[in-house]
Amino acid sequence: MNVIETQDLTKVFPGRTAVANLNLEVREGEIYGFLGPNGAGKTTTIRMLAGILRPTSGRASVAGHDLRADLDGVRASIGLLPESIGYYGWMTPVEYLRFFADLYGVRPAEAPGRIAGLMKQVGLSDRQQSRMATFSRGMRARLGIARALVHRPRVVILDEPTLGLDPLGQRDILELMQHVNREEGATIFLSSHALDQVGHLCTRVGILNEGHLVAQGTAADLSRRLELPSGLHLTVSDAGLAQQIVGRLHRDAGVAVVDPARLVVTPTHGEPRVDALVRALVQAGVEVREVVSGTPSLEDVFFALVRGERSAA
Amino acid sequence: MKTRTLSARILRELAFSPKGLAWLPAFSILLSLLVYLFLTNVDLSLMDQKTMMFMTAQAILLLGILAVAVVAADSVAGERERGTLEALLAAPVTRDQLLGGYLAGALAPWLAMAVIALPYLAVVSAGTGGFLVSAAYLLGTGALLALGVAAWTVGLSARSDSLRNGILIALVVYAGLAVPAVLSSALRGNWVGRAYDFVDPLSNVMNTLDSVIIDEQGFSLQVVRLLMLAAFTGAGLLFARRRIVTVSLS
Repeated sequence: MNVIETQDLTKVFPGRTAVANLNLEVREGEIYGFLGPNGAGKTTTIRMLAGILRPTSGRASVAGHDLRADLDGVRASIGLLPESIGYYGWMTPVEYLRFFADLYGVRPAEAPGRIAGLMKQVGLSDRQQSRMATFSRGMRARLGIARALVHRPRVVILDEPTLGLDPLGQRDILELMQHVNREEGATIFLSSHALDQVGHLCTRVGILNEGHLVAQGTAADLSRRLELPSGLHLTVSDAGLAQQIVGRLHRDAGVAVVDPARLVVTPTHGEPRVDALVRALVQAGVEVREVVSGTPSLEDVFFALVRGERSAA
Repeated sequence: MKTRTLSARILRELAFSPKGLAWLPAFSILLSLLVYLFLTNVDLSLMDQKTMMFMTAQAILLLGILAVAVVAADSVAGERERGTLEALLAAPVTRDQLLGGYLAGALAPWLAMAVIALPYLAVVSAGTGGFLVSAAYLLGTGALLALGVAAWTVGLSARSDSLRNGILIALVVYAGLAVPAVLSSALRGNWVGRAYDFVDPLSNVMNTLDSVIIDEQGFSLQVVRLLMLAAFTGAGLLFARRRIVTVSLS
């Protein structure tokens, strides 16, 4: 069952179309990665789904509630962590969560227990009485997730939740999202630039570029659909020169340049010998920085799609 | 219920945040100084007692409305600047509830200052027998004016991209309202001044208080002024509602 579904969802601002004919399908219980370069329309889409921006045309439903007919139902089903996480610095985290619990109609008898549980879950139990003005960015992000969960939403939408966090903070947030998905059963809709995190965490992804959904599915599906080569992924000082050398060495292998510093060697039969390949490249004056054997990553899929769109335009 | 939650958040901020804790004592000190001057300064103490009552009421009103304007300016513009607006707009709260919360929060300083000020007015009006009428008119017309100022300022704040701009706009609104009250006699010299004085809500409240406290005139002579005041407040509420419904994050 799809917990988020959009049909030709479009948002036009004066002078530009931010999102055009978007058809998303997010399944119940999955962690869905929403990717796209800056200005692709991710935040606009999220704001439409959360009922903050009115779509220009098209339809959307969240947890079975139609965006136009039942906005309150949509809002009650979503826990949103926006990109800019603002706080009332004078409040304690418990007061802050209580404020939102009241706004979301959490029963007064249930609220204290729920808040205490969330504070423990996000690792802030020992800061219950501290003013939020004293919190670090990572603590604020964790509190933001607690706020998004306070009313037990079916869908949690996170817009760049790890932005500006140190690696430890990023890992905490990712683990927390996995925990929320597993323990609370919430569907996670994660918008992020961090392709490695999305690739690691998400069941399926949607890739948005210039307001259009250019692909949707698992990374493996997308890679197959795009016929991205699997094989040896080389990071080198000059991908063009490396392509010529590898081409001469393995006439039957496919050699694709991904960008000026990366190429993928796809043999027709058997793996090419890495030592011979690297020796030939080095002898030709090409610096070899990395050699990885495997299937295309989400990053490869993302770049192939976004670059493909741009060159087509 | 949600309106109460929203306004309670503003009240708590006004009452318990460090900045909030500063303004009520400051207002009390200002009023104490004013009353002390009325009662001890040789020139001022020679003033007619009803004029003293009117001046005390005028000071309460001017300071109270200023506080209302500043708090209302912080409503949408402040939320936008703090980055708290998006989470609020995503919550299942109607725009009317949001507006109600902001208006109730903005009226709180007026109510608090009126409660603090009443004993001062009682001291100044001791022996005149006019305290109750003065207090009733001050509270009633002041509340209506405060609601109007709060509504107009929340409406303007809804389009402000920063708190600083919101407060600047609020101060311009306040200055526009206060000009006829401060320059009343000079303004009344020609038809423009008289028209300004006639429509200006703060002037209408001041003139009502002047009429009731100093001239001891009855309610029937206040009706036109009160209708003008009600029109200002009604228009403000319509304006604020229209603006809050279309409030966006950009």
